[in-house]
Amino acid sequence: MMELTDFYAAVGGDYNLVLTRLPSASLILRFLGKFPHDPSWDALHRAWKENDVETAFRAVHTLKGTSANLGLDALYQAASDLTEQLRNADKLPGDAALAPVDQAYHTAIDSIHALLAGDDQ
Amino acid sequence: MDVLRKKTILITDDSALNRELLTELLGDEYAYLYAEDGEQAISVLSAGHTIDLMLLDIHMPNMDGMEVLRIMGESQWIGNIPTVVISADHDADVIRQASELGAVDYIARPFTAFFVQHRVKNTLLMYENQKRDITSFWDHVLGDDRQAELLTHIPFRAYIDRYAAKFEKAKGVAMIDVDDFKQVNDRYGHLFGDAALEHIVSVVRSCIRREDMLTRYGGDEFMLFFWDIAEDDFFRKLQTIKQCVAAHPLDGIPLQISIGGAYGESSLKQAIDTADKAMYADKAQKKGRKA
Repeated sequence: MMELTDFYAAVGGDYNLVLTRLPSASLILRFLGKFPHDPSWDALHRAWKENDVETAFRAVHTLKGTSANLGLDALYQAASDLTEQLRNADKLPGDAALAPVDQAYHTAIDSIHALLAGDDQ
Repeated sequence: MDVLRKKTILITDDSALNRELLTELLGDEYAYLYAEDGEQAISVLSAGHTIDLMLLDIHMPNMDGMEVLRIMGESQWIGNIPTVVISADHDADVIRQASELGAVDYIARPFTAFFVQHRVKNTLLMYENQKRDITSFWDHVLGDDRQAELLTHIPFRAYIDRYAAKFEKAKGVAMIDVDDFKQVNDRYGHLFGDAALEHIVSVVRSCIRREDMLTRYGGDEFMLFFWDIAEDDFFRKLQTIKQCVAAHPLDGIPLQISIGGAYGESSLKQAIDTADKAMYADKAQKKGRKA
């Protein structure tokens, strides 16, 4: 069973630091459970396919904010880097720019599922 | 019965997760309205709900937070609904622009529960006190009632905008900015940062007369207005204020301000612009000395 400390180590975060910002483990767990339903990552990919820089910027900016709030630091860092690449950009960079966000996002989602599966037991 | 009414907060953020998290952090002490973007926020504001405070995201689809602030300014809502902007950006330009459009404060992501609660509570309290003190405030400004005191809760910038005609007549206008305030917050915590702002307000007020006016212009920026002062005295006074703040550390921690003044300008806008530039020149000079 995955503990929150292990979970945060897996997503590049620091559980103790998150606990200084958010009031309880149960609240953190509850909001981590909501994160996979957040539409920002899908919106980013949709915008990327449609070559829509402005929407992609907003989506990754939102992803950056939500991941920061939940202490998903690796995803926050990747989203933050892409946000800066897209800020005031005229066109999207190559797909390689999206890869770190995707990788960190999938790690976060897989880890959340593992954490919550353990929490259900 | 109004005192029994829960204060209503309008949370405007395009992320449902962030709206829910803010609601959770602030708890059931408040009632909530929600908007997913700027357009929805304007619709909610136009619908005539009683809104005591708005938390406003900056980057949103359809209409961003800056445009919401512009419309609130044009519609004269901004003076009645204190608006605290939320942004993942620590970009001083974004915060400054929002402040210039009338936002009273900002909350940066990631959220810290206590900080969010503290900022909301303080802003509501300050506005409540301002409403209560508004009559005595204007008596004070107009010189009719020297008993008026606003030592703790100084007026926000919205009052300058709303009553610009009075402030247009000020001879001396000064802009004050707390030096390295972000570092103060980062190093000693936001509670200390808030205490530092209150401390600076208290020190500055101790250096000015009752007929002079200190207002909060933005997060850590203040404006001073002098209606009756000679030019030499005005610029000497600014230096005295700066030295006074430097001479009064808080809990042993030194605090400094940069200050710039404008005297006898043709308009308030021009005076603010000149004072702002002078303040930045003062700051740049200090940084140059450090380097």
